[in-house]
Amino acid sequence: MTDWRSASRAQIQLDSPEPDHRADHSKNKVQFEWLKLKYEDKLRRMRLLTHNMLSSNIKGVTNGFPLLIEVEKVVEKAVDFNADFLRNMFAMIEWNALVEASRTVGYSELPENAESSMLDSDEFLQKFHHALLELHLEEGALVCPETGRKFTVNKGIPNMLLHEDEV
Amino acid sequence: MTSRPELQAPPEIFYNDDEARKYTSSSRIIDIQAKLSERAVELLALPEDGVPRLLLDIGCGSGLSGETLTEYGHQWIGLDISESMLSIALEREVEGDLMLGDMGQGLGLRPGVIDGAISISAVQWLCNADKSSHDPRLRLKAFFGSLYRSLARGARAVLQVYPENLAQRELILGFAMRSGFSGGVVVDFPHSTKKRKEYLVLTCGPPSLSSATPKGKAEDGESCSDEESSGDEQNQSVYVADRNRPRKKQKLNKKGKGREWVMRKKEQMRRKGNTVPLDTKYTARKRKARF
Repeated sequence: MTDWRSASRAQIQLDSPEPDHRADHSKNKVQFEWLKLKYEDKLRRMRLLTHNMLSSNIKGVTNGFPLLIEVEKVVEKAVDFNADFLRNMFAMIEWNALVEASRTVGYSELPENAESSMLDSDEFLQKFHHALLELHLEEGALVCPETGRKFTVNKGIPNMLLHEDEV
Repeated sequence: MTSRPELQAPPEIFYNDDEARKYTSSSRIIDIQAKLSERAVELLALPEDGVPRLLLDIGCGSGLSGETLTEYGHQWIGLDISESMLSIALEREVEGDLMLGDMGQGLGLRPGVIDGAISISAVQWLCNADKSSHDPRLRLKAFFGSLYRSLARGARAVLQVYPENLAQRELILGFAMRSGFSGGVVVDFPHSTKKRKEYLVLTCGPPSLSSATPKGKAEDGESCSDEESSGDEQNQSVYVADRNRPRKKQKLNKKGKGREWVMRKKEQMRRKGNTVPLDTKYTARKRKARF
């Protein structure tokens, strides 16, 4: 019952050239906004920040971090710079994994080792910012370091769903 | 009577392309989701130092709740099991990173990296067994266990839930407590059937003063302070006395429903979360004879 209902409703909203007079205007506005977005194909990708947080969750894997990256397509996208956030994140980030990941996606400016004293340097913060937030993996895969299981990344969304035998 | 979506199909099937689109183009749902997530962020009680935090949105769907997080200036990672919902989120260009995953399989995050987690209307899905391999208890355990691990110490998780019944509520809360969280349930508008919303406010680590569960809301825009709630209790005891009043005594009073009655009713509606006109000197006053 839900199926035909939802289908027909979506159809009406998409196809009708004139806005439905009974529906309120805010609804239509949202609808049009949505349509606009649909046609401007600007997609969001996975940042290295997320990669740095993810670890393989397969049953029996003791050290599922860091996931290896298989690159098919990487995109750079400018993001607002916020030094406070970076200082806050620095404690959480696994630095070696970030350096490794940024090299894999083709950015080798990050220093091998980093200390919290370096956070005062603007140059370092800019590099950190670029690596952490502006490099986006769009297509590719994440590979579990222990089992070699591939988690595909499609349109910037990693598919971390496990099979039944991996839970 | 609309039935609960949890009972119709598993989440990844229920939220198909059509349902996801419908969900995200309804201004009513957008409004409700925004309100719920604003309240969730409020309950997260992040320090107000203007530093963006890394938050987790569990069951982010099309990113409606994530947008609120972005408005507050935080970075977030969203997790959802429905591909259709996530592709709508992509089309809407949400600011956070998205991840396709099943919270019942554990979150798959490094320990201690997340500053806070919110979840809007998602956790109750875990109480259903949608596949033969699913055991709600194991899935709840995996979810809360991995959530506890991935949160930084002292971080909070605010999970808005629609439990189907008392047993579900106890089940969810029980597993949260067993995985080490402290905290409890905050109920907004407890007297209203429609506006009633439940939030699990969980703090990583042992109970302390800072992890005391905040109070629920009784009315829009203001939370119950201590004084108010104690006043309510007094009033309530009066109502009980009133209710037990013998009928005969009521009949003797032929003046009709007086100011006291009106005030009581207004208070009742207020507690339900309805908009009620202010109490003034005109409240429950009789009209002049010319009417």
